[in-house]
Amino acid sequence: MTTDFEELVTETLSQHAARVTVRPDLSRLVAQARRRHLRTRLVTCSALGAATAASVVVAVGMAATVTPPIQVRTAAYVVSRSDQALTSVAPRSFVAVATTFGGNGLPASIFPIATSTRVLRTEYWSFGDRSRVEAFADNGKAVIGVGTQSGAVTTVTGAVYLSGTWWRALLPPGDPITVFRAARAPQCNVHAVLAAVLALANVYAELSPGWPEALRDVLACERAVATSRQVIDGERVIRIEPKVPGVDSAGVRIVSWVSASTYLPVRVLVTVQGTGPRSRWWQQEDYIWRRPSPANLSKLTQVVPAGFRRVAAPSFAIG
Amino acid sequence: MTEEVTPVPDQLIDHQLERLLADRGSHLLRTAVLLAGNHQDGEDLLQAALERLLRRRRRIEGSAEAYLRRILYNLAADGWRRGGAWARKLPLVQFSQPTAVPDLADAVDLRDALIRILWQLSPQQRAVVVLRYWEQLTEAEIADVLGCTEGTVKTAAWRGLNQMRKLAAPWLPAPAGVGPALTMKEGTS
Repeated sequence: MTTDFEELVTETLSQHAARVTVRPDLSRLVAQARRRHLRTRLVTCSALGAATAASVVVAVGMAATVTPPIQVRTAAYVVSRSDQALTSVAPRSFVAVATTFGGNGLPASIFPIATSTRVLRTEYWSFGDRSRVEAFADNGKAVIGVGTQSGAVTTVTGAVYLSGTWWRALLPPGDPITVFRAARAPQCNVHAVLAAVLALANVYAELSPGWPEALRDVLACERAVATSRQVIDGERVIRIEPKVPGVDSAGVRIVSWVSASTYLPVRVLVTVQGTGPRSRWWQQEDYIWRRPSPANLSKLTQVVPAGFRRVAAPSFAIG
Repeated sequence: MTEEVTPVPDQLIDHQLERLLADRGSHLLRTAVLLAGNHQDGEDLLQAALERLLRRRRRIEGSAEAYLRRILYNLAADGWRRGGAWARKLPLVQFSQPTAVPDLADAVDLRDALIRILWQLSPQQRAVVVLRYWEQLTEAEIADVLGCTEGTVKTAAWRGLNQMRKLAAPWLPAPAGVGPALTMKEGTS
């Protein structure tokens, strides 16, 4: 008999595993394992070699475990450091964001495709003025991939895997999120926070290099709260929770976790509790910050699969 | 008469393993991450399993994936890097007076707590829990993978799950609609 707790464990393991980002060059592990295997075989041929191998193994084993102790910081300090990190470090880092949508997910029609399919997860990669997003349905299959190159003219390329079609659009200067943000004064109240959250949730944010600023808006509101320490995916993080006037009564909860070493966001969770029985909605974003290596940068190119038919680009008007 | 065995060229084995990782790499890596505790250690664990597979490639009979998975789980159950990254005792989270109705943020906390609690189990218990609840294997199948008796599997599963339930109690929804509010103890490691 399966108990509720066993079901909870099963669900937890599945969700945790689903968040593991698998790099396309996984097969390099074979080459690395082979090199290590050959190296071990060589060094074990001599006593000196054996001693060297042992010291290497010890050194490798130790290196991965040493982490400096975390000092207690105030929420204001953490928010300030996060803001600095998003301003200075984020633009120089490649970031992968895995977003999971709660409940039945989001209608795939938030992307410029006509379908009744629902999106449960997106994967987003960004560096500099380039970004790409892929959306996945509940069966795990990719629905659409959209790559963006911003500049004097923003080029957007979409591959709709559902229909085997692709399109390319050229947008006028100014990315949608920057335009969206310019329409309001930055302030910390329920409307500003919800606007920032909606901007993060909105597909236009994911087509835009302006999303770190939207995230800064959310973090800036997170003041006068106690921080706490946790570990997410092996990384020490600091949890911060906002005290924004009006947000609680609006049934909105935003919790952020930032890295205890870099202060860059590791996770942002937004829950909205409406009044109806089916009006609860949540969205979890997991951030992975990396060097802009060639392998990582290759994620930013939207490849059009062979045989896809080109169609007219959809409208990108901001509603 | 002794049958002469033609050795399989190393390049062919590499190619087979690359194909295996291309086809099943996602699942194998996710399994390794669950066993190891985080992505980096998961990759290291999978690589260590591949390395061992290469060392023993001439012993492979049948499916290379099954053999690789067996190595993966046995490395995990044997406490691979016993003194290293995943033997760290992660700080436990305390909870204070119940003041709020638990919501989805608490559910996320609960899942995070369960994952951290999983890493506090013994390597064998963790391997059994992952095989049982992630791979959905039967006790007999788990015994086969780990090379132990069904009785050992049953004991490890029972103890592992009980331990998880006990440690997760503060996060589990309270009866009668009273939910615990979560505050965290500062890191004490």
